[in-house]
Amino acid sequence: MSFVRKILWGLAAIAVAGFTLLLLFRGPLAPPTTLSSIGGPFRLTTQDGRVLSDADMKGRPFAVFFGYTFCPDVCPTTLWQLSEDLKALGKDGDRLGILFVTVDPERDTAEQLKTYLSAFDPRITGLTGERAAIDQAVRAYRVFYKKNAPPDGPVTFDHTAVVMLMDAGGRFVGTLDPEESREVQLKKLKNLLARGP
Amino acid sequence: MNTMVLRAAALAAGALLAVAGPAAAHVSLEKAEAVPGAYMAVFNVGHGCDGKPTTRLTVLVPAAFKSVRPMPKAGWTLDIKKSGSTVQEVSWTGSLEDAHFDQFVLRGQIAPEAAGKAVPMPVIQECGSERLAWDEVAAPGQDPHALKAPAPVLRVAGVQAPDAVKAGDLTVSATWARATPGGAKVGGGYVTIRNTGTVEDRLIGGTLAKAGKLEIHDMAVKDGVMTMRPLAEGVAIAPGETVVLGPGGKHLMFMELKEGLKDGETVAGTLVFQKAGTVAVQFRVTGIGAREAPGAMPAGHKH
Repeated sequence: MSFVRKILWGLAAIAVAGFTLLLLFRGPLAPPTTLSSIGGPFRLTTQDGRVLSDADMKGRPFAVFFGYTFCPDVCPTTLWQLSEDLKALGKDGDRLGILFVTVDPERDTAEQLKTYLSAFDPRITGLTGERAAIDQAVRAYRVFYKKNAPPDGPVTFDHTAVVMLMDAGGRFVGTLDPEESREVQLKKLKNLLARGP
Repeated sequence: MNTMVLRAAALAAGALLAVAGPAAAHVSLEKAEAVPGAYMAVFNVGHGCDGKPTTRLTVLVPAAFKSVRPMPKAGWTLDIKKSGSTVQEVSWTGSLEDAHFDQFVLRGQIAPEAAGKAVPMPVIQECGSERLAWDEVAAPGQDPHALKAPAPVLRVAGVQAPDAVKAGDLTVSATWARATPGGAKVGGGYVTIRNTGTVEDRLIGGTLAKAGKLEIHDMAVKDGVMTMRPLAEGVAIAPGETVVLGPGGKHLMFMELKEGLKDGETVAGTLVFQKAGTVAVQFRVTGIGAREAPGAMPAGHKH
């Protein structure tokens, strides 16, 4: 019994030593990957046919979310809320980028996005592109989408409906939740604008 | 028996609406449905009197149409008959070939007390010495199609009335929809259904005048992911229960929209139930970001 115990203690000691060595050589444990890994390269087309990439957003805080115009509820509601927020921010809102990336580029052409977005604040940028370009943005922002094409129904998409907030340095700082109050949303956007690059 | 009567009533209401649309040979209103408030009455005149050109058109302004201002037309003389400051008659005198088509416009306010009512707007069409009075109004129970010279009728939707429709044991209320952004091919519709009977019924479908198709969908946001699925079995309404279809959950999905849903308008539709059958309803359209039915006062404030 005590022999077994000794071996176990020995193993524990080796494990601690090994872990310490690992820390010494690798430095402190890597920070949680979820925050720093949201955001990254993308290259898409705006509703006006312009190319917009992550480089264009450098130095500018922005909010980004994914959706599609064939979506009756959460997409128009979110766009409407962001429009209201921009209105409340007034001129300050000019510094804030708002990007709406379609996950349905087959139907959401630049032209379709332009018509659709005309109902909302003109400072909102709609983005579309080739499927591969959309997927690159999807991967960069760690979002999820899934196409549903039932044989007798319309094509719909399951998609991440969270609005992600990115600071001027391209770092992920938080999200907007559709369920939270207008006041909270607005405060989050003001905080985002107040952050340095 | 009761169900039958109510269904018949619903059908009759639907028929009445159908008649409000422009009939080719009559003087008609371009937009025959409105809510109290600002309204522009556009009268379509599609022909003269038995081949003779129209020389004068007179609208007998109903009392419910207030603060009326006529739109002048090039080549036509305007005559306005008033009682005090109230416009009672507006006439345009000029000439319109029998083969031609034209529109005559009045702008004004529909009085709030007209809500939920049909407002006839009689028109007198004169062609030289000939006179056609488009002033017949269908009596209750009378088929408006049977009229020889029906007056154009404006149907005014109720604004405050909680537009509840009874169909058998079901009470259908708060039928509303959100306005849609430009180019949107879909829209969401909402309704509250109460079952006061003893057996389950089921909402299985419906129609909307502006949509090619209507489906019943369920939407959910789980872990930040939005999913939407058609409910092939529809929505069960258990006896004694009230089922609310609302934003963020089960809803009516209008598809193949022929034109956008506009804030403030009312769009006719139907809901189909397994037992109660087809029920005619009116969807009141509210803002894109609305979370509740129009008229239902939100607890907070509204922007």
